[in-house]
Amino acid sequence: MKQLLIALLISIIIVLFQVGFFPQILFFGVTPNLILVAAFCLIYFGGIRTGFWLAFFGGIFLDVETSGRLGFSSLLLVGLTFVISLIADFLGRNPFIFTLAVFLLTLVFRLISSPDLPFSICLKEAVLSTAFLLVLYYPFKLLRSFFSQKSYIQLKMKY
Amino acid sequence: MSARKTYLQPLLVFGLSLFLLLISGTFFGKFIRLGISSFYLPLTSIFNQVGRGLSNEIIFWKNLKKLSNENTELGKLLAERNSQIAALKEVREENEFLKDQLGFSFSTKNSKTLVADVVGFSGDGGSWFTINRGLDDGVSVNDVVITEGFLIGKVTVVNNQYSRVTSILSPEITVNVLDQDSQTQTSGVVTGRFNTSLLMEKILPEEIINIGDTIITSGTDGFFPRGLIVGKVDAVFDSSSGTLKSAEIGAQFDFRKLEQVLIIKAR
Repeated sequence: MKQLLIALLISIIIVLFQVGFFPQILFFGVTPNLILVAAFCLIYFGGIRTGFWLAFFGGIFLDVETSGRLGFSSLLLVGLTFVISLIADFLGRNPFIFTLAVFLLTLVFRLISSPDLPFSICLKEAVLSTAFLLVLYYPFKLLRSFFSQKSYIQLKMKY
Repeated sequence: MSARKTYLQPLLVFGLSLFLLLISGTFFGKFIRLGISSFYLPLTSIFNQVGRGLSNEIIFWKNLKKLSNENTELGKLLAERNSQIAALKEVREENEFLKDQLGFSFSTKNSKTLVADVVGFSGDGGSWFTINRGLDDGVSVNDVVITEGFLIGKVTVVNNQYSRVTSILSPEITVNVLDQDSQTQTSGVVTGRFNTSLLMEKILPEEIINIGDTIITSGTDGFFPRGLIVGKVDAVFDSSSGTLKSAEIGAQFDFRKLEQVLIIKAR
């Protein structure tokens, strides 16, 4: 329950920034995909459950804001968060691999959610989102005690 | 057990998302969307405004240097334009002056003309004044000086850049004139009278001249062109001997207020 509430709170703030604030301050004509980056940060610092709930709620808010089909973004974000959690568990928390994964998955998200968008814009958004990973990294690192859990493999090993 | 639960959690969230996607087109889906948007969209609006404000600030600071450079450039341009305006103003005044000059009966079409500024006056009430044109501008002695159709005088002394004009108020100048308003075309000779007025002499007794008549140059002296206004008749003096009449002519403007004059080159 605690993870769920934290995820709800973070997702509200993050989507407000992503949809309300950043479109006014375009970086190279695009806005960062903060929800995905935040979900990936949570996964990186062990907040597995919180990360998934964040992807879920963030996707819903995103769909409401963008008048997209309700649940579509959630489905996509949860799917990608699952992929990153598997990468984090099986390939380890190597910052380079994690950063590359964030870049690729952000690109995949945009290519699937907006197939008509020019590839150059999708690429720019992926680069910008990866850059924002550095921005969100330290706040999530500081707050990790609120949402940190053990990974699947750690939990498997334990039991 | 916990590990299984952790595995199940993504599946649960995934299932919920799928469920939402399936019901999104239904009434229930629309109800959920409406519920979320009713509290969420006002918050987005606030963030939008904050973002816009910040964006404007960023644009302002980003463009500050550019604006500063533009301001400097505009300042230079303004100074340049002001200088051009001042020059054009001078040209306009000169043009207006020329237009005024050409508006009278005397035509300067076939004459070489030159505009000059009056830069100094004599201390005796108007016998002469100095203009800012001289030999360098092609001014020569005996050039006729007029303004707005009025005869002013003639150039008597020429330096390289300045010239002295002796006005018709000076006794040194003699002009052949005629009465423009008289049916008999009364003619005579005008000379300056101690820088205060003009005296028209050598008027034949049978010729008619009335107070208020306009006196213009007749051009018969071969020096001053015909048609230039000299002044108006203030008084007529009949000779006691009955030979010749004379008249006092008043100048129509204050010589001391002259600013610009037109020089007509001597033929």
